[in-house]
Amino acid sequence: MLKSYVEAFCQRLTGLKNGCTIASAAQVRHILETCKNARAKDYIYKFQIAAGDSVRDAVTTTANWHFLLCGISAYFWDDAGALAPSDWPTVSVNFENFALSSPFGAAPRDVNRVPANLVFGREGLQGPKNHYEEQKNIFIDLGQRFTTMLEAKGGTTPCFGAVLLTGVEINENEFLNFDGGENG
Amino acid sequence: MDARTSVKSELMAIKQTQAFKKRFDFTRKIIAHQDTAGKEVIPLTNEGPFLCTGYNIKYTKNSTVTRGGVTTNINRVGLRFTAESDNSAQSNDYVPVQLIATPGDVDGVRYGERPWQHLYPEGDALTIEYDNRAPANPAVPGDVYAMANEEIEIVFTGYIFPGQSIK
Repeated sequence: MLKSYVEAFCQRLTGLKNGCTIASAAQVRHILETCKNARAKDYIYKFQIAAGDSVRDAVTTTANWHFLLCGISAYFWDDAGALAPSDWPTVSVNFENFALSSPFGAAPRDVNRVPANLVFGREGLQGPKNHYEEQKNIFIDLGQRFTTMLEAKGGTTPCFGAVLLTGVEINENEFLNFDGGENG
Repeated sequence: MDARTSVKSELMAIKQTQAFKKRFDFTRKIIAHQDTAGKEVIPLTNEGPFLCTGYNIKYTKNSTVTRGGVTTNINRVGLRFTAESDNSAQSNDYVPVQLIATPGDVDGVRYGERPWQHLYPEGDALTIEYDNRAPANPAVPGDVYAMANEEIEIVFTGYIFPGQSIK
């Protein structure tokens, strides 16, 4: 009698206890091991641009960590008032030394010099903000110590701007061991 | 095996094979002092490793810029996070809060979070660097900046794994 009660009790325990999910020890170890070697990372390029001017700068990713690009967003602000969309600068993202192959088997893509109106699918404008909505459906292995050239061409009003590359850094050793998930 | 031994053995089995994964919100408020680039070091939990899965930021707009006699409230704060354990900044430079806050304005309806994954070991500390300085050169000559203290409130959401450690 007591034994069956304990078994039923323990069954419930494995789902929830004190409001906490209980995962198996192996599951937790897997999460911790994985997350130790993969971390989110932002690469930002901030610029100040005069009307009709053009600026560019390079961003280089971390050595020994592969950078998976997952999203790009851009932001422009004229501190004294919102820019009209026609005044927005044009942003180009130029991936140089693009990784020729990756463990994901992805073929090199023609992503050189991507104009903003192609990268950013929707020109979202809310309230006083001037920004291009984040393009999220990206998943490109840029490799380690990869250089990305970010360029901006000014509109008709001087302004400040920023381009943000968001992604995940994966430890080189972990990346080399990745088998595509078939055995993971 | 009697019933009591059976209970002990069942509970021991759970203890040895199961682990907690606890939902956790970690909230902190910092003041980005006017005309200052500074930092705040915030101790994280001692309960176990903290896996951050996202954050949300709320901010004030106390600073102003004046152009042609018209004054506009602004927030020019940039943030950079660094975990003490790995000493690796989570961005290469200060990121404007307006770019990473959701939805990005102090009076806006708050929803969701910005997905962001970072694992902090037990006892780790988070360094939040901020830059609340006026631009060295205004985009439009003649703009006059009056920087003020800004309140930045951040909610980090994620999981704690009590009693676990990262090797």
